[in-house]
Amino acid sequence: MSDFDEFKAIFFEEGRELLQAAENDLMELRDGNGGGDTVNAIFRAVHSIKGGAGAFGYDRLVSFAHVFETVMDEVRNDRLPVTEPLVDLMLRARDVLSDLTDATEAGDQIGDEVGADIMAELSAVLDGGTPGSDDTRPTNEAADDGAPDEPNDGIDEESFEFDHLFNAGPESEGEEDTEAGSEEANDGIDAESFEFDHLFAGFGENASAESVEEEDQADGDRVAGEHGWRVLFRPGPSLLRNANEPLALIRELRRIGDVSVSADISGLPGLDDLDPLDCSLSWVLVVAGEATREQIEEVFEFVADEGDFDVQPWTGIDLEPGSEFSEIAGAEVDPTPISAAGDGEPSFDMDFGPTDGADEEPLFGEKGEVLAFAVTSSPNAAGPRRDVTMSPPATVRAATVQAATVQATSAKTTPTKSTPPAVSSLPKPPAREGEKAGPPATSGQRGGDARAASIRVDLNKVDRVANMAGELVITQAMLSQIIADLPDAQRLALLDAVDSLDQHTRELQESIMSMRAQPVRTVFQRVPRLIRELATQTGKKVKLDTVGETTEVDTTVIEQLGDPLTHMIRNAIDHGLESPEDRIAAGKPETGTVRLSAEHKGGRIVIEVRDDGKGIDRQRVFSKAVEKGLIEPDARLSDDEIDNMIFHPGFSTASSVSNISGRGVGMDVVKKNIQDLGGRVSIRSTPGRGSVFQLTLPLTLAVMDGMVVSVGEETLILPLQSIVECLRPTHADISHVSSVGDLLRLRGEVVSLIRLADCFNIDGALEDPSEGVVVVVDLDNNRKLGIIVDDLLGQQQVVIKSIEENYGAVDGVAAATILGNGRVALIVDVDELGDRAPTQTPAIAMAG
Amino acid sequence: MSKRVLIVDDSKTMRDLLNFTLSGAGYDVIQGVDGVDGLEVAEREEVDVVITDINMPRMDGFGLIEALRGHASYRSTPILVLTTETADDKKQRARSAGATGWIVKPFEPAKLLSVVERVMP
Repeated sequence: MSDFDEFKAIFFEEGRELLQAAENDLMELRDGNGGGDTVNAIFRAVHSIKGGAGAFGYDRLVSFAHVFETVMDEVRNDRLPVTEPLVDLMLRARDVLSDLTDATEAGDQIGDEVGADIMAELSAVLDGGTPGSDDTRPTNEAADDGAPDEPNDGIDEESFEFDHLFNAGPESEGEEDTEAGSEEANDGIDAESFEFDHLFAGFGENASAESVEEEDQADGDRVAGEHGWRVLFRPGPSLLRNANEPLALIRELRRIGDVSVSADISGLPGLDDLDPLDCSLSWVLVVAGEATREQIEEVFEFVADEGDFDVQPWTGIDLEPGSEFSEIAGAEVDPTPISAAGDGEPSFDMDFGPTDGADEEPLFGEKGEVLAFAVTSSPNAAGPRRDVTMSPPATVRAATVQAATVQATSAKTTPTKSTPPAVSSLPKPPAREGEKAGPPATSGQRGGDARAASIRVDLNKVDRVANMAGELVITQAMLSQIIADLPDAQRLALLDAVDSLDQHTRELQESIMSMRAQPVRTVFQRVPRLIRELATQTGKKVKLDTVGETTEVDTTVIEQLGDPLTHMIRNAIDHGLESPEDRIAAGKPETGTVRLSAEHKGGRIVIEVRDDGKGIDRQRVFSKAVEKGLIEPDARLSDDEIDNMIFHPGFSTASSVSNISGRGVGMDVVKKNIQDLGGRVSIRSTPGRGSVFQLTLPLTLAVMDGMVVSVGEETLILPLQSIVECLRPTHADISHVSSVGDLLRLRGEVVSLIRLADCFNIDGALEDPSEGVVVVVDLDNNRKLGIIVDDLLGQQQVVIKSIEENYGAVDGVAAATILGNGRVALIVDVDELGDRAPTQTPAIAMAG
Repeated sequence: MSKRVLIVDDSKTMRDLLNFTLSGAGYDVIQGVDGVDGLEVAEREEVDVVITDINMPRMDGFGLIEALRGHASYRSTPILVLTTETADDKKQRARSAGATGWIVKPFEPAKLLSVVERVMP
């Protein structure tokens, strides 16, 4: 290695110095002048030379120095007395070491006999012989157990050294190696294998290791390049404990070929039994391409011998998942159901945490087969992590082990985006009232020239294109589905193309969506006039602040913003703000402020109307609610709950209906409209200080992130952004309260439960909630609802198709979509479901 | 920020070679001269990968690995042993001490680097 030449030069130079010093020290010893320090110095010199020689692979030096060093070690530890003969021997040994070093430096071939006799003497000393005596001269007995008599001088020196190597080694293998050694010696060891053995300090397994390698080499050459290799890997118990990382191994494999990964999760125990340091997974990895068996084995070199590891040539034939492990493991693979038997404990908790939206393809196979899936960050990503507890697929309970498939592509994974584009960064189009011009929207123009050219486009045309893009997404999902079911060879061949198609489709759709994006300014522009009118009519003084007018949102949403906004502002001025006199009396500035803001938050648009008025009169609201029979007199509601009562149908805060707010055009209508759009509206209030109306809407009404669930034979969609968590309850967590229904205990909270099957009269669904999954959703008034479904099938972005346009409004159904398998799935309106659940808060029910 | 490797070996030549090879490849290298010293350095510094010899005075490689694995911060740090011995029982011993993998002495620079890269978190 020419890199190391410099180091080698240093080594030899230092070595010479050390040897010179050692000679002086030995002289001292011989003269009776040396002490412990001297002996130590000699030891360190030899040790150092040995270390350096080992670094460069100078085996002859190593082996000699080793024996020498061992003797020195014994001496410095007072296990060998410093006698004159011994010192004499050491001097001779030092000479040999010096010769060997010089010869090595010069690159000379070192004859096997060099130093042989000295080594023999040194070894004999270690064996307990007295240096200088006849014991230490090479003899039959000392050297050669069981070998036939050999004359003293005519000893086969190769075998001799060999034997002494074994004896002198720190863990001598004893007789058997000696015999093996002598056999080989008698065969006339060639220098190479000799060195080989030296490398391993006398352990004799190396020769066989080498021949196995050669075999594999041939094997590797023969079949590599046809199609590839199939690798079966089940890690042993120490893998994770010793910081080996399956993901890193797969990553390494990807460097040498195209890898298709199948993970078998059937071995995962229930959460209670799960030790995170046990890798209970196993993999089938297909490495396609030019990689050799050797390369693959090298990747697994540290882990292959523990656990199961097998590499077979792969000729592109369809894999039979599940059977492989039975083959190599020998015994039947235990198809233990994942959940602990009998007690209905929740099954294992796979917590993915938010990703950056990198992996989004639908990862589910046939219905009922749950596979590992990536949780994309939900639109409300500001919230806590989503814990996903999933049930094992029904198929796992069958006799054969099903390999769960995690779709992984080769190194060219294309990242996909999960949220609609950052619409706010597009160039701002000239806003024209009444005309909805289509601004030029290309991602490439982000943050670019603000005076970009624009054209005017009929909105209908844009809508049609957007619709087509939506259909394209659906079709592409269907395609992905079909391809996932293909045999490996074809699937791998198509993977790149499909990936590319997927990415382009999404980009196309996002571009089109962004074409329809407009800043909210178009809606905000109407507000000043509205406020002036209201101020005049109520005799109040109002100032308007606007923030975030450039925030962009899809046209479909913009259109819907107008009315709610108007109502909220009217409410703020009419009921929120006090008259100028009252304000002064309260120590506030005469002019009230209404602050209107819009911002993007977690994939939604959040619009707030904030006033600094007197806030909600909670007493009055409460009494009103009781009066209207909406709540019980002894009901205990939180402040927030009281405040949000104003959205309740049949509620009107105005004791006299004002002209402006109008009868029947109340907050409940506003809320309904917003909810129909998939949004939320709520209010927060501080008495005396003011109130904040908050309105959230999705950035686009065309696409939504959904959780696909199964109920009986039906597939339904729950809006992902409403979902707080999913879990499998135990019977202990559920109580039935007769007037209220089923309730779920969830970490100190109590949540109403409803069965989705009951809501939609679906037959054939699971009866027992502890066998299904409870999806806990957030309702808009800070309540939660637990929806019982049979199973979670996965997540995907769904294109929303309006039911009303195509059929008619349906209770409990927000919209519909077409899944990748071509079937129609209804999108559930969770807020409507929530309305069906008992209105009393469960806390009261429990107390009663 | 470059990854840091701790090398522990009582042979200065060996340490020099490892340092040369690893820093040449862009890693930041710190050293310990035996098990005890290596442990001190490891406790003081943050390290991404540890490479250690086995036969060292004061505390050998196995002792070092076991000590490191006892530290929370080194529970999942890759630790490679550098060894002239590759007998199965040695491998087992290394593995049960908690070693991630091994490199055989004398080492091929390319092989050393590829192993380090493979285990590097």
